[in-house]
Amino acid sequence: MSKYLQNTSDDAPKEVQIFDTKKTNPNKTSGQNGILDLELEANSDGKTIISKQYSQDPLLLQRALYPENSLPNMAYLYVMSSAGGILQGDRHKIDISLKNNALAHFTTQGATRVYGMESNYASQIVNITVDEDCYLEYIPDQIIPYKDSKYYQKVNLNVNENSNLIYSEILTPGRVAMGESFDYDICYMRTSCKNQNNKIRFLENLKIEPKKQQLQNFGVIGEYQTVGTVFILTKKENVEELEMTINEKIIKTDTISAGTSILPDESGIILRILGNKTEDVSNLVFKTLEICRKKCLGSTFSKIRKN
Amino acid sequence: MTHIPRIGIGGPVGSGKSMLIERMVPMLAKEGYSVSIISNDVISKEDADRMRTNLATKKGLLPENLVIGIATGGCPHTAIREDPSMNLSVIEEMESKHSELDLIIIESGGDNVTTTFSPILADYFIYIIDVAGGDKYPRKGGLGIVSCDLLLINKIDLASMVGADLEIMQRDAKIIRNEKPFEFINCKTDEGIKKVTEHIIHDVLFDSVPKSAKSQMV
Amino acid sequence: MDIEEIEKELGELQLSDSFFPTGIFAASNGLEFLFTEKKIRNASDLAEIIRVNITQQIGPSDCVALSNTFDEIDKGNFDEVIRTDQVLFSTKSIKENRDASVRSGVQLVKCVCEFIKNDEILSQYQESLIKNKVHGVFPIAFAICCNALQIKKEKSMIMFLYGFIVMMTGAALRLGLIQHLEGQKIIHELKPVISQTVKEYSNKSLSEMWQFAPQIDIVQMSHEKMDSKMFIT
Repeated sequence: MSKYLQNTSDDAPKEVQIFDTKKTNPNKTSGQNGILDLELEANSDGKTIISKQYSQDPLLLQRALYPENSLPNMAYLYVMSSAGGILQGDRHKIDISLKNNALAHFTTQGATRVYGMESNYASQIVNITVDEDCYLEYIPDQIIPYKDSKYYQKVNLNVNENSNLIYSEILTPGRVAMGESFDYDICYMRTSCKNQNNKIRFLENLKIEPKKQQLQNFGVIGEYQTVGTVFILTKKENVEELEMTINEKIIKTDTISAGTSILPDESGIILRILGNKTEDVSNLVFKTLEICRKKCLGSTFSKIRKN
Repeated sequence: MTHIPRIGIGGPVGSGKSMLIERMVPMLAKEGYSVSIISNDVISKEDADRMRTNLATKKGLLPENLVIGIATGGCPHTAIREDPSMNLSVIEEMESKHSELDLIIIESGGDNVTTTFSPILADYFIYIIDVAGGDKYPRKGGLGIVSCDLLLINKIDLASMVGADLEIMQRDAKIIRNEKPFEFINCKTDEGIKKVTEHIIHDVLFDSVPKSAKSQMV
Repeated sequence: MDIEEIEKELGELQLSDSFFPTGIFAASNGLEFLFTEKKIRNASDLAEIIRVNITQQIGPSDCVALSNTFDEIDKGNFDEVIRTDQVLFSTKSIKENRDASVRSGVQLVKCVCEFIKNDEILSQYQESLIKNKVHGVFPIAFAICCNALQIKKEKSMIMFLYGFIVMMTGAALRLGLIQHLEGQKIIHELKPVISQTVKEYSNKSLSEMWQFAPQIDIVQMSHEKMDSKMFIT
């Protein structure tokens, strides 16, 4: 298991690296290398099970649950952190691989809290591989970047063109209840998606530096607080109809604004959401999930995820 | 990439460009020619939508995706004359994906009388005016009326109502057209439309057999 | 000024002229939607939205890709030019804008190929377009064409950004949002945005490309879905 001892370089961008002061002050920068390595596949009964699993503190995985009546074979997986969040110097790595008709819903047990950091940054690398005929919903709770936090997230999606991945992320302004809002230093989120032949399906690099960018300007996020993005990777023939259906469900109000479009080479859909409350944004994510399940699996979504 | 013959149709707002296309396409289809339509809308995709509904959805004369609307940023003349790049881009796409087409019809947005089609865009240019504008129209000239390959004078049934004298129009058109063809038509009743399609088949398609018929012969 | 310099300068004028046929006159970059929804009301709103477009999207994304194209040409690394084209294309997640960018880029290359016959990179790029090895996204095509006319990197970035401002201002003018004098005032006021953007993004690597303008994304997506429109973006 030597490969797990130390997470390899996360190729963080310069804007993030600049906070890494471990050379000048090594005491203050130690973090943890959390690891979660999962492989999922359907067993002979068609039920999706965890076929391989490795984890290293502070990342933990709960036992798979099967709460969805309409999809009894679908595994619900919950990742949690014994540290209660992402801390200074942390370098986490999550690998999820689906094969052999696996069907899964992956989420976090709670919000991803990125704690304030005096020095260094925290990073999380997520590698997701979805093989042919598999279906994955990767729907973590919102990210809460605390005051003075520095967070780098790199997501590599390897998605077969004959499979489905619904990937979402929600970014809040911070610990609003504590009076914090956009007080973090940086949140850098790289997402790269390829197909089974290593051909790029889409790329996205979001860099948010509230202290340098004027986020409240019209055009950036304006009067909204929370940003959500959903990427839907599915078979080409599903794309046009799915996009239309999702778009029809978007009702623009004062508290939410959203739009959809079709990704390069018709390989999927992007849904971008701006909302005031996390709840407004996550409700639209769930609505989207419901539409995707209906189209891709012919099934319903009870919205039961957590106790 | 094969070159698909293209005709451009220009004319003032309301002169009957879209209606002409809606009348011509069924006749061309009956002769076996497959056609695609690009509409350079001034303000909306209404023209393209109507033609799509009438010709593609209802009559099934061509696939729906072969009726295309192009927005022109409020500059319909620019889109067909000095900067036809967006039209050419759409045409190149058609030529690579739909080599089965015999003809592409490019409709301009409502023009002023000085509008012409870039020769790189259209092989043949039809300009359409209507008698309701008054019988002075052909005489007044304007680049479109003078230089087009075929001038059409539409809505001849309205002549008496607007006090337009068709004989004056014919006389003036003859002078200003200087041997080049013109026709009186009425899109509402199909009067003269057959002649228009004959011009197209003869002068644009050079009386060639439709591609679909050719492939059947092979 | 010697003859050669004068001719080079003429090349700059030619490629940054709004008369140059790349279909830009038909683009509004979402402005039409904002105008229709009454979310933009005057010249200062317009200047602000152009500025945000440049600082949060065009600068850190398109301009970085444009400048990288120059760097890779200098290194003689055409494979990296191909990769830059692929990367920029893949980051354009809004269909309407991606399609318009590619249409303009391809037509730009075609047009310049009509009068520049002896530039190896330009010919190679055109050939790659025909073979579907590159997409022809506008900023890359623009870099290739500028390079073929011996225009330098920074100058090309200035021209590119100026063209972007003129495109949006022109669209605003034709929408009746501003009048012609206001248009020129906006262009003048935004000159510092151009200079800062060129300074900041002329030496970044491709992996440093980023953007963050979700509200602009949603505006552009909403334009794509408009029932009746005058502009292609």
